[in-house]
Amino acid sequence: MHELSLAMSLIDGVEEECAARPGLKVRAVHLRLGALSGVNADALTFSYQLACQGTPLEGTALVTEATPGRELEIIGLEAAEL
Amino acid sequence: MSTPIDERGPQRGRPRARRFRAPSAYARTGMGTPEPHASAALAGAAPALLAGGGPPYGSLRPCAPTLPTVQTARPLRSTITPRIIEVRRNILKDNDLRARALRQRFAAAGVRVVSLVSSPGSGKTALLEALLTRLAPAARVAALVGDLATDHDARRLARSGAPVRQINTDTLCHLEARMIETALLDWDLAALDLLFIENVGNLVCPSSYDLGEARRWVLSSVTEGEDKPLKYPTIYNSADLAVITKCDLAEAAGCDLELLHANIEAVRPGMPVIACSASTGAGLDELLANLRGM
Repeated sequence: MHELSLAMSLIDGVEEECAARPGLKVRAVHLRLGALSGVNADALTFSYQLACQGTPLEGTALVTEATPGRELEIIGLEAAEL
Repeated sequence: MSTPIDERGPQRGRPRARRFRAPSAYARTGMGTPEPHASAALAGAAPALLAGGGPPYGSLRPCAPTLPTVQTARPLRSTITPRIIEVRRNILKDNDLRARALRQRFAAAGVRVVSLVSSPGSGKTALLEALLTRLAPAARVAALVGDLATDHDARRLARSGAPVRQINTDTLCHLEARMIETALLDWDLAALDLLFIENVGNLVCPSSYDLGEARRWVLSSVTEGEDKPLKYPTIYNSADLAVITKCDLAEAAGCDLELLHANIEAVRPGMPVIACSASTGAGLDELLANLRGM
């Protein structure tokens, strides 16, 4: 439940970033995930796949980078090849 | 491989049949759906195996649990270097913004806000009841209390005479800043000096959600064992004060208080710890002094 609500916030964030970059087609979302963030990478990835369904982000991947702090932030959007 | 199975005679298919049902049993937990082709492959392979033909049993094992299939969300690698647009965006942004606005409102209204987190049954409500009963006659104090269902806690705390409001999260395992916003809609914050927020009993998720509070207390009761802080470090790292509850039961529970202190210190060095008992009143003066020092 916790990771699912985070995944939904994540998707909202990505959609806002995309809205600011017209024409961008995202293939993967890169995320920095801190050990103290209280979030499990696998559970978040699973929730992300569920929460993406029916949105423009459906089919995109989530790439997480483990860090030691409290980070829980989007650090990059990987663009699909044109 | 097939010899011991054949020796089981007519019963030989049973253990294996249980293994074959594993994917659907897994699906019932709601964590994921096995891939159709995996189940089909298992169903098709079973008769072949029972007949003694087909691949050895061990070769089926990779198909059984489906968890790895939902985790492998890797982008397809192409020969062209992917274009990555750098962004910096905190995922909790919405909650953080709301929490920041709440914190500013609390500061402007001069209300000190303390949130309580712990596992269910650690004594958050009992402690609040004891504190509110002591504070309510003189101080302008109120409480918000979160639970999945019922208003039992709010009714219990309201006996102190302080204004109390229950937040029901239905299925959600933690409070979020927007729930606090909603709960405070018709409250005049300027009429308060102190506001307690009792979170849903949970040592995991509340650590990720800022509620705009000035202080967070994490409670651990002596009946939970001395290693709670070691097992749930994240919540301790998000807190400002550790409160050991039910201290009157320490001896009966066989709790080594020194070890509990040491474990809290190991997880969050320097964090103040106050041991108390809501039923005997021990340690409550120390907590009240801590509140006055905020």
